[in-house]
Amino acid sequence: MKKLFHSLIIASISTSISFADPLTEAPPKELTWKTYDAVSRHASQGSQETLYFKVDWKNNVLAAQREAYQEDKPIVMILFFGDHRSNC
Amino acid sequence: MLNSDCVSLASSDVTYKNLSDTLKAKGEYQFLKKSLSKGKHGIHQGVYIVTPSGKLIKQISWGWPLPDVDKINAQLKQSITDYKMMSRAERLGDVLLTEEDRSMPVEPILSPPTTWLQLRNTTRSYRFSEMNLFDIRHPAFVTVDKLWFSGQEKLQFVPSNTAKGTLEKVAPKALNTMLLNSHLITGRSAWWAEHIQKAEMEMKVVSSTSKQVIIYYRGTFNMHADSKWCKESYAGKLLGKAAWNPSRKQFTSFEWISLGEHEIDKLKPNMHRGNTKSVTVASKLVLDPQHQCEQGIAPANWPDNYARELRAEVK
Repeated sequence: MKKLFHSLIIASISTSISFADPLTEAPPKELTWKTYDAVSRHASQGSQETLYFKVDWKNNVLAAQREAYQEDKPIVMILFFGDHRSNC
Repeated sequence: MLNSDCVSLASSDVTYKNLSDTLKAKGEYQFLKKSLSKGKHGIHQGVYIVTPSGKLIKQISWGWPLPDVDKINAQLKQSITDYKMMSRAERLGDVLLTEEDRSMPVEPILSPPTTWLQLRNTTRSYRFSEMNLFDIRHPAFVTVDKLWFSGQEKLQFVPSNTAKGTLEKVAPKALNTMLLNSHLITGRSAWWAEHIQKAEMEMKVVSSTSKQVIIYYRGTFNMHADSKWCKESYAGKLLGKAAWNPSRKQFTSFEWISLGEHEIDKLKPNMHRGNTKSVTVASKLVLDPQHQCEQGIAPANWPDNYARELRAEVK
């Protein structure tokens, strides 16, 4: 479901995906103060991965319908099983 | 597009389906049921574009497991165009839901005491052979979580003597919440305390003034589980640095970085692909910047895996 969530955001704001280093980057042999920053960057979200911060998400149908009705807009409804913080 | 042309909703279909019959009889659930009655599976996980009147415009086909961004984009744009072509009555209908229609109880916004150490956690694997976008360990995905330590617990990460050069060990138990709640790996695993074979961390004061103490951390962890629910191991190292304000008794900056090998002995068909059991994982824990869309979101394992006395402190 994370893939879906992420790709929908990207699709709505951007027309191309740029998977940079994380997909090809090899891990350092060990974590040292010299490799610290590189490992930190790898574990961080890239700019494309934080686009969802910009969306004003509603978490229930009632709130979404009320705003959509008042603003005359369609509702993009993402229904997921589980929790975005976990495996589903 | 999601902000300017639509109202965006992210919610759980399962939670709606598990509501009581009394709550399902209310307007909110009935609106959802009506909106998705022409969907492939009714109220079911997926992405839908619906009108405020409760008409399904489109069930988005987005590609599984490889998301087709162009296709999603095109479907979203077409759905918005279709919406604008409808009559006002078709778009809006004549029902504006009110509080009396509420089916889904309002989720409490959790607010831990300001004295707590609130961390935001991101984790990403490195490339591995046979990596596939179906697999939750794929480096295209970042696991996001929160990790909370109470006002008392966080003091375990501050040396009792804050003079420059002081080297102290962190009590291994202080690291349990981080290790048992899978903050150093992608996904969630059913770790128990007995699975922690080694949890060592030392902290060193590298500079110290009355206003700020700079602390460096170095940790080593080994975990191994062979239970019915978890056949995994983790071996990793952690480095970190933090700034502690002794008068306010608060961290003003905090960053822990880890790098380790996570091995899953029994891969799961709904989460993994291929035969690669061991992947290298990087993890990051920083002071929670409190992003607007993450306000009120608790750690994934809250409250179950947090001590009762901590749960009592959170309103």
